[in-house]
Amino acid sequence: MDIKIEKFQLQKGLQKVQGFTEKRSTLPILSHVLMETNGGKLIIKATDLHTSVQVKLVCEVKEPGACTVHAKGLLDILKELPDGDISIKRSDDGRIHITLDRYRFKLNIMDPEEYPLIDFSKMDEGLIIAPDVIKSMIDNTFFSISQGNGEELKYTLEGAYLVTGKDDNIPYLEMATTDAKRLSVVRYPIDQALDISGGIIIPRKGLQEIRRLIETSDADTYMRLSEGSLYFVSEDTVATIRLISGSFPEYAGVIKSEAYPIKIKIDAEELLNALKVCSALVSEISNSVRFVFSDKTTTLYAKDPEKGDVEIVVDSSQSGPDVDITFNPRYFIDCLSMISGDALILLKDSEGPCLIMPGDNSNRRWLIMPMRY
Amino acid sequence: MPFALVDCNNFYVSCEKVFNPGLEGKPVVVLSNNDGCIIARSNEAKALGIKMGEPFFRCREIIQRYNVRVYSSNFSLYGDMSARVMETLGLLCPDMEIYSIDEAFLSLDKGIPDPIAWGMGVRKTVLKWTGVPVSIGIGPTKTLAKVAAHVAKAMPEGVVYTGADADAVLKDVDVADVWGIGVKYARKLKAMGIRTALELKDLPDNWIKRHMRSTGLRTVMELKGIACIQLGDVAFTKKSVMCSRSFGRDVHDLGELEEAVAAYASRAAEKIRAQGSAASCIQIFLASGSLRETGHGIVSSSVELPEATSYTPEIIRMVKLMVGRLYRSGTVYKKAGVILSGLVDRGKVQKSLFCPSRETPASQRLMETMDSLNQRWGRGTITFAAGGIERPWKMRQARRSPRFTTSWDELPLARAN
Repeated sequence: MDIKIEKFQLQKGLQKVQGFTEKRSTLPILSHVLMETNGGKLIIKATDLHTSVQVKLVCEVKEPGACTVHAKGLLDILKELPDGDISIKRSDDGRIHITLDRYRFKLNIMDPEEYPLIDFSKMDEGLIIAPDVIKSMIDNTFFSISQGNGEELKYTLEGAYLVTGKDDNIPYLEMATTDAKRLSVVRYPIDQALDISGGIIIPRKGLQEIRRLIETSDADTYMRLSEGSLYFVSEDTVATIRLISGSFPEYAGVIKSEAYPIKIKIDAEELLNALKVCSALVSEISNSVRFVFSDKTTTLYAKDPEKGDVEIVVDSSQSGPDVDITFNPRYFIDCLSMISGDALILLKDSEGPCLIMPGDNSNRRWLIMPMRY
Repeated sequence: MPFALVDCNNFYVSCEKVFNPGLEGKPVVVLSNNDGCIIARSNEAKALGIKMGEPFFRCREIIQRYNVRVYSSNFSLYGDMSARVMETLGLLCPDMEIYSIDEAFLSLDKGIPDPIAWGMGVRKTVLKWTGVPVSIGIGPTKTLAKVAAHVAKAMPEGVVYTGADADAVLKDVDVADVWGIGVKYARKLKAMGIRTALELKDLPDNWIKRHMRSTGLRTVMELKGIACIQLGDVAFTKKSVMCSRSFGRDVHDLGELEEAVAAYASRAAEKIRAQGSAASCIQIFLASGSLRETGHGIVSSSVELPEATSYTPEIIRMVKLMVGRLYRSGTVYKKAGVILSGLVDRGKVQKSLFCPSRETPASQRLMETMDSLNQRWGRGTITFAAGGIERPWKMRQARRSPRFTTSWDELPLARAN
């Protein structure tokens, strides 16, 4: 293998794929990227066996071939180098020689034959979804993905649950995440029918990487959802997440607004700002803000024995009796940040869950459990 | 505002002497859990060369030769005696911070006319009311008070004031004995030729900040008489609580292992309830073999709870599951422990969506009742059967004195003819 490539292009390509490598795996080759030539292109592939990616970069191929190189190691070097054309040549001593002007590096490589096979063959099958829809779904739900081991729970919570269904005969795609303390659900209508009514889980890391790709990609991109994989496709990049089967808790009953007799309408931004102020005075150990919802106002109370206490009154309108209830402010802040305009806060009583949704859109719902006070 | 540090002299030994006056003037030592090492010595035992932390077996010869009285640790007695000392101090000076089982900081009135005389008065009262001798250090900062208390221990009058001329005291204090100077910094300072507290105090601030960061600078400022550390006005809350013990004998049986771990879990749960906390995470470890043996090792397991709890039955249920997972038949277990972490305010626990709360008002009342019974009638008055009744695995305490103040069965007897 002997190629010449613009340093900036190579760096950009590596930055795209680096997140897909596995740093802590017992398989050292997964911390490497596979670089191989194909026609006049350099193809860089990375995988952790669950999420995979390949990018195509324009380069001058003097001699075709392949090698695997440590992704972070190479990227760290590229970041420090000046701009210019880089020459990468695989030598017989089992290393690659990288040259740019007076800089010369020899990096150890691994056998490209050992690199796991990455299969993108089914990227043309399944339902096409606009990347913006997936990005919005991730943004509205990502924060409530469980970070714990969930060992004692029978559910798979370390990812987003994706399910299809029909509402008044209109097919929809729904994403739900939970960390057992809160639940986020977002629904989008779709044109084509795809049957994953049994639901499927997208792992957390895959969501993170796909979101990053969507954010940095050009206009000509699309997502494809098949039963086993979610693909991201653009002109020079293809990524896939292997979807995993796993059980997700039945949540439809708890997000029905009819089940909540107390309704509060409040300006989301005003409440968000008030909660941010309260958060500055929340003690690390209690991590709670007391909400008192009444006829025309919502009053927030927070206290830190070491710093002091705060009381903030926000205008709101309410139907139902007054409620005195305590929540983790972080949970409220996460979902209020996704709402512009009015928010609807629905409650059962002072001990039960709280359902939050935008005042003008019931396709996004967040359920938060209160604190036991 | 001056500070005083009241430090109980040879505290564990002093507690033993209160109920056994015959020990006065005799060499006495107290052993650690499972009778392993020396953890307290009377002045007479110190004079014989018995070192702090020395394994018991290593000084057995001196102990036999000089007829040293040896006691297993009796933490029920020491805890209760400590409470009495602290209660007495609280009456004498309400502005108090309990620093450890045998030390308390007091904040004194600014215009106290004669600190030494005040200290002598406190010393006399504590001795008279509790039987425990104390040393008192008084200074303009907590660090100087601590230095003064260290010096006072070696003085017959037992009270030292570092107000007017702290340097005279600091010049004779080893830098390693300064509060806030750990082993690492002490080694570093000594390697640089700084051996006394006075030499440390006289170092330039820039040097201190560069080599010892802001915590080091705080210590030095305190040595200079500038108070940087105030009396703790917020109760100290631990971030995790551990209960671990070596077994009194080898444990092979799963039932016994479950019993021991359940007992430790029960104790740890009691501790977190006492500070008003609930645990979000439970960890257990089992140690097999001793370090000298082949095949020794430690296995551990942890679980994150769906909802933080301090309810003992729930914690016992979880640790028993974990013990079952870790247990290997044929292994000889020597020690086990339970760590409760991720502690949150017990009154504000985040509810779970999927697991109904196991703590109900009734279960909370049950725990409160158990705790108050055990507090009133002594630890172990009411326990969970899962923690065992006979407890054959319990650590060795062959030389423990009676729990004179916390057990009805072990009250001292007064005989009259």
